Amino acid sequence: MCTHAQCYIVPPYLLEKLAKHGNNSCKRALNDTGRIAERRRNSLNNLLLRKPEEGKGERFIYDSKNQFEQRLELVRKEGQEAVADSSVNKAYETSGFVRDYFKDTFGLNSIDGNGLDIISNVHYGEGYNNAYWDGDEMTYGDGDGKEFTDFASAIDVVAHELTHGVTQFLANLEYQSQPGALNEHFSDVFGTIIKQKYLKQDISEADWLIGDSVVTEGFPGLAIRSMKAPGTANDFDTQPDHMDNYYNGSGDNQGVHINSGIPNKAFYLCCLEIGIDDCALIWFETLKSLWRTADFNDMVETLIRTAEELISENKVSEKAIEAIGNSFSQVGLTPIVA
Amino acid sequence: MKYQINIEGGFTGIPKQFEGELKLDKEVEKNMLEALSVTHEDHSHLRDGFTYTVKFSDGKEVYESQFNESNLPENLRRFITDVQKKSH
Repeated sequence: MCTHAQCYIVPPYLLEKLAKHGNNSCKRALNDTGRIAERRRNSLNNLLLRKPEEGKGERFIYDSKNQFEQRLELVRKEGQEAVADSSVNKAYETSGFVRDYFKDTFGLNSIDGNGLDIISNVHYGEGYNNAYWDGDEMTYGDGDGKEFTDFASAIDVVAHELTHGVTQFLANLEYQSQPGALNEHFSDVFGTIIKQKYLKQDISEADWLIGDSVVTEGFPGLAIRSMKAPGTANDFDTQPDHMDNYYNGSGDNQGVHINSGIPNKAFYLCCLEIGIDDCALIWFETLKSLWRTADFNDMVETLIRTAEELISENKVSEKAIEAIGNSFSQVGLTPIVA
Repeated sequence: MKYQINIEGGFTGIPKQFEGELKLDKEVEKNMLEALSVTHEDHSHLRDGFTYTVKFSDGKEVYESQFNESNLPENLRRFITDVQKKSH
């Protein structure tokens, strides 16, 4: 005998078969199961249709007090006056500049396009030589004072880390091999663009260096990376500027900070041809079109497709497609034009 | 006990390696080796975080494990920080 309780866990196709064979108890159970499923579907649809409230991209700066802890003490938030700690004020000011750049230039409301609050942790750890994005917030070390200094005070570092957040919400490029190198590339691209805007430079005045203000005099080099001349920023810099020297090793998540030198150089060359603002728009729209596993060739194809669309809308120079083709050909990535 | 620490990745992308020997209290040594043996969850959205490869050998056994910013045990974090400070 088929009781209501027993039939509830029987799969619908079996209930249907039993019901077709005239089992009334199963017919009732089938109808009940259908009604329950319908109710659940409606509830879920209602939840999905309800638009989440848009945030304001407010800034929150926490002091890690030289401990390896995030969100230890909130020291400044949106709208509050400057405090005595210059790292806090710098992180507040630069993260606001980056947020405003994305909003004013591309209409992007904060990191996720939905007004996500911008959380920064400064003075993280002891002599910690790093800055990172962890999926939710940014964290900056003070540097060891010997080779590196305060990471939170550098506009290109802050823009680089915040762009990792933007990439996470737009293309979500995975963090290894070529998609990982593209992830790093986009962070360097917007790191250098925003640095030039912040310093009110044009491309001829710019140094195209990343992290030049976080290295000390004791550091053997000028900066962390160079977009103009990858591989020359410091004594440890092994970035290639051409596919002929592509790094195939397993270190650094299969070279995410190494092979990014190849598209970085192409970006620099492209800026020389059509200017940094056209490139910024093309690269941003491309980031919106890329996907998790996109590789270098996918990137070049998407850049060209994006440029075609933007040219047809009179938003970028008519020379953009040729400029992208030339720039990437010079680093060993020749676009296949249909 | 001998140690080898490799730090990779990070915003700078500059790898660092530290090697040496240390004498530890039995209990501290046990806790350090235990920290190496526990499997930790990865944080998939970590970008520019360091990757820490920590290796200990006591002459008989070799203990090795890899961590990142989101799962590095507190006692190993302290140990690595001390080693880095001493190297300056």
